[in-house]
Amino acid sequence: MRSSSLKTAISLVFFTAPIGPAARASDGGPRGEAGTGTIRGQVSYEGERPPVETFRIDVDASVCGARQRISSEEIVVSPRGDLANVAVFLADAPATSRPKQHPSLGQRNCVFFPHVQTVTVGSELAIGNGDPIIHNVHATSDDRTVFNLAMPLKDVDVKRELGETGLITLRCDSGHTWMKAFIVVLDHPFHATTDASGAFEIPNVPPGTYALRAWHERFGMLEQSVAVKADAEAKVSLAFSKASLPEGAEGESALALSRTSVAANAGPAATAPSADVIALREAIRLSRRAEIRQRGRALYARHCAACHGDNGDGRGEQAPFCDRKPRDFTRGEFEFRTTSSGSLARIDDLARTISLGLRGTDMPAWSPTLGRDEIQLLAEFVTTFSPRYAKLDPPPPLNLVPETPADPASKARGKELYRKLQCAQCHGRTARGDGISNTVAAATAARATDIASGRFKGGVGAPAIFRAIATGLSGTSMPSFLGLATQQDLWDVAHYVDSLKQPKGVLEYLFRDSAGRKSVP
Amino acid sequence: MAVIAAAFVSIARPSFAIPRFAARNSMECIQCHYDPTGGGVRNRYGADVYARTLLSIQGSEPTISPEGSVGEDGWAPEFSGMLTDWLTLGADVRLGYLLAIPEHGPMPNTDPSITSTLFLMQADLYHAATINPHVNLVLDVGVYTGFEAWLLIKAISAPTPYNLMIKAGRFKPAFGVRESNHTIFTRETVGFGPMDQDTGVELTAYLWNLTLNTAIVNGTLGTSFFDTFGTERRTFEKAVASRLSLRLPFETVRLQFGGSLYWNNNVDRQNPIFNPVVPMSAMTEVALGLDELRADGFAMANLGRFSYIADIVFVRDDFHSSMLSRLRAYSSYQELSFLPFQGLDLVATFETMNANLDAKGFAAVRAGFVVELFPFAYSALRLMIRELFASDPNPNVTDVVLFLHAFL
Repeated sequence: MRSSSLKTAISLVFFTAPIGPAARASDGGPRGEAGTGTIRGQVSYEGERPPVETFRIDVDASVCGARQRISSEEIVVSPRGDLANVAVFLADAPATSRPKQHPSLGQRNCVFFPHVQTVTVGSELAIGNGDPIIHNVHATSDDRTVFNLAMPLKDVDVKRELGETGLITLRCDSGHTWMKAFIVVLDHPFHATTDASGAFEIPNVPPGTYALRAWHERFGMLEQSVAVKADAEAKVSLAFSKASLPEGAEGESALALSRTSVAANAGPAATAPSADVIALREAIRLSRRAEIRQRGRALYARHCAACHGDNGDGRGEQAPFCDRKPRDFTRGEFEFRTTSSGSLARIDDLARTISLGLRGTDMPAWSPTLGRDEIQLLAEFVTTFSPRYAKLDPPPPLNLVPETPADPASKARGKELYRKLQCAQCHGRTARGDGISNTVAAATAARATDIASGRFKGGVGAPAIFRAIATGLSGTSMPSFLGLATQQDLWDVAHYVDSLKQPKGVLEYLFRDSAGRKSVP
Repeated sequence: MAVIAAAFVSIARPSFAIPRFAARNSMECIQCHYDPTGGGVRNRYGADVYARTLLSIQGSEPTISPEGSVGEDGWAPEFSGMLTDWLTLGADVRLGYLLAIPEHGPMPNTDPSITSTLFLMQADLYHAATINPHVNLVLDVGVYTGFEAWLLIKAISAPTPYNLMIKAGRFKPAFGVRESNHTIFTRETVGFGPMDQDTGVELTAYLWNLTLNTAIVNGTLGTSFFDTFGTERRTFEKAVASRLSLRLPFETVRLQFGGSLYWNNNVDRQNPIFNPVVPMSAMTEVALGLDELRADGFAMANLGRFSYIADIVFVRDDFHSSMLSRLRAYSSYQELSFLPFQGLDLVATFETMNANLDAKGFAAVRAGFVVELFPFAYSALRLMIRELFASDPNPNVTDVVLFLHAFL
């Protein structure tokens, strides 16, 4: 029954099953359609129950901390062994339509709910925050940001389309390190999640014999064949055990093997081009490809590969000496963009970063020494490392409004919004990057910027700050605030934040500058 | 005149590394050079990244506004010494202009017609081939230094904070702070001149911030083009050079400490530094051999725009001949540099040397000031003024030298 020996093969088709028809046990989809069957089953855990991990609540205790310690939802097993939070789905689903669902993700008392859910691709996820504190919903797939949304306002929902298949891991980067949830996004509707009694139901399955898979974040994956007959119920029983754990890898890490097959999927806001657009793009690419490969590759080898590696994986010979790990271009994830959170960066975005460098880091500004053509070539060449760029175009830039006047009134409004949007949670009350979240190890987070120092690596002045607030910084804890406030409001915040920058004193000039060793000191 | 010419030639020797860059960045030499002990041909980071973007004035100023569209045309397009994926060329050419001040020169009141002169200080052409990810082959052909040729084998080709490397061939053994100006008291005065190549094998170990270089060489450095003689085996008759350094790159302060040992059992000929203890009449006694020991301790620090380097070298030479007395001496070098802005270095130097290292038996102190400008990538302009204060009754010596340096 168990699939450990077939782990790799299974993983390759985990999220790539053919398209299937509409139906799902847990969201009220149509059930019992004539000529279809239902898979009903039970998932259990056999053996001694593993200990439940608990976390100490050291952030926002007034909201999260009534219990002082919070239990992990990783393993929820009833006394008789019923296992909850198991994603169950067909591995070889038949082709059918994919009706969109209306999944939701809530946050209350600093816990995501549901902890695990399965969703059909293309559905729109409604994310809510029932707590009067900021949560920061950072969704990643294959360690790449899918979206990163600030949720500072209680009872304000934000919706995001889940546009790609795969396993999405959700965390909160606002210092609530224990918050974790999973969404398994599938390209068919034949899936369900076990409830507290370990039960699940997948209705409306066309007759046939299928491979049924069950995935648990800790225990990994099981597979079992199931025969479905028309107008009948197929009963299934699956049992995880300690012995069923994959060798050297537990649930989530086991799934990581499967993600290679979906790593190239688009970000949620990416646009899937039509066939003629693909053809045109290919024609253009053919004419451009030779130049990119020859000149771009040569330029990259000379000026970039020492840090970013010959293969673009951020593992150049200088990488061990860099203060921050050089960007891994194969992931296709870039902090500084004009596109929405989690989306591909545009070539212009990359060219701007190459031109200006990243202030205070080892990434120098290349515009003084390379020409426009060279930088453009480098930006295009950099995208060739990522399979995401091979399949999809970056989305158009966000329609960001021009800067509003940076007058005292704007800064005053920005100050109030800084409080209301709970920016201080990460950046601190004095904007020195000493917010409570920065004092807690956030697994996926880079430290919040010390705004008052003026060392913002994304650029200079309010426009750069505004862009970061609007788009978020993929791969970091900085979420997008677009949609939570108007763009004029975000400009006000940018003006206020920019005003916090303290003028550089003589002592700082003499003794704190990283002159000569960092970009654009 | 011959003496003055010799003095010029003494200055007109190549310089190889700029340790203040390592101090400023808390860097390892191999970050910018192929050679784990620094100097010589620069790797692609040293030549095509650091030298272009983090060294010169022009490299520090983006030509577009922060929010502007991409780019003006750059000024140094695609030219690079990296000819192919596996072959890199590099070069150092330095032209000096020595301003001789008759009343403050090394030979005061000599021929007044020799007042100032242009001289070629260095002309080296480097070649580095990457045979495979584990093996580099380096050849340096210099006008004054002859050549270096060595291969470097890396145990791990992937970037890791730990590694083991073996260098084999003709190279400069690691010792102390290899300051770019080799005429300082802690280099040439203790026997480590610019032509200190030797033939042997050197092991380099990196263990995160700890670096160890240990070499076994012939011990004939600087005395022969191929340094293959000295085969009348009496004892070990080799030299061992070892250098250990520890980098502590804190966020605000960047520190580096270390020490070196050089022990040579293969010296049997006269060296100018023996003059204080070996009279002309006893020169032949040197052929009986001696144990030559050099030990140093060094420290580097960086705080903001300031960088500091200190190096103190102890000398102990024990002659095998009972007719000759022991040589005990020390010299020191300190340097404080300030970087007002990228591309301009202001450097103050201070050196001491005790009397045992001076041919005439005079202790000396030398203070200097250097202004070094890097206006464009791959070029530098350096003005050095030094004043020597010796216990010698002769007038103090003033050096005023202007260097033009182009490198790749």
